Amino acid sequence: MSSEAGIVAALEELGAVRAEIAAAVDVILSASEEGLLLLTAGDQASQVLQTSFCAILEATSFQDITGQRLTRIEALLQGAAPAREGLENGPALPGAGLRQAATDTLLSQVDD
Amino acid sequence: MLKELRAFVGNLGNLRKRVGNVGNHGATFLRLNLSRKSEDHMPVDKTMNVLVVDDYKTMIRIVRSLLQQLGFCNIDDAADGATALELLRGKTYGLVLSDWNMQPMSGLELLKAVRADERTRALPFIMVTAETKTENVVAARQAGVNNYVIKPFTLAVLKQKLTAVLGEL
Repeated sequence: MSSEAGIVAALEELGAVRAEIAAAVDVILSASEEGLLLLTAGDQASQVLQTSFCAILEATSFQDITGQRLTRIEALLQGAAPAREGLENGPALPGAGLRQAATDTLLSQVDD
Repeated sequence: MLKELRAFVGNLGNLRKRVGNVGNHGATFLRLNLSRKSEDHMPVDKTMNVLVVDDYKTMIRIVRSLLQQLGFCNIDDAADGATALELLRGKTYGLVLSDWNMQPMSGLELLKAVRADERTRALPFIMVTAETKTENVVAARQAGVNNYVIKPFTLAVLKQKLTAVLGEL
């Protein structure tokens, strides 16, 4: 297989990954949304379930982050530098970039 | 600063009511009332219109569900800054939660447009983004963002930032 054909095949695989993630996340989100609608306010079991369902919702945001990483990989495979306009860098690699606490501190130090 | 102002306005409202009841003792109530802390804060109106802007449908669904868990019930959404701006021009909103990385108009461009419009200049605006560079946070702050949430985030973090911007939920 030529390198060009290999890149095309890799892009197709990445497209399939993207689609499979989206389909799975849709099912997970729908189940969580339906579960949250059934909870009863004030009930102790419902409070535990609410925490669990919210944790699932929070975790499914991985699709956004991984989606942006996939876009970056696709651009690299196509030989193009990832599209960057202005300050749009996308998610940082683990260990790089500010965490929430550091962001809060920085935000409080900068005048608007 | 916004929270302090909100508390002060709330205190003035209470003062007006009490002065009406006690006549000449209003000055005494002024001293007592302003020394109190959070119990006189105005409650957040959770029926306010909230606009969630993100190009990922998944993120819109997540933020919408989490906001609903916090009691907000009127939530609109847009997939990019330009669409959001159209919605903002046609309806009164109390809060915008926006992603940064969108096309054709980014979240930062949306923020600048919101701050440039007299009608929306003071609209609470929270950036919810995976952009974690110092330059991004500084640029957003200088453009007038009220708070900045790093993706991925939890319900607790969202609640904390909403409280910081709007007051106790």
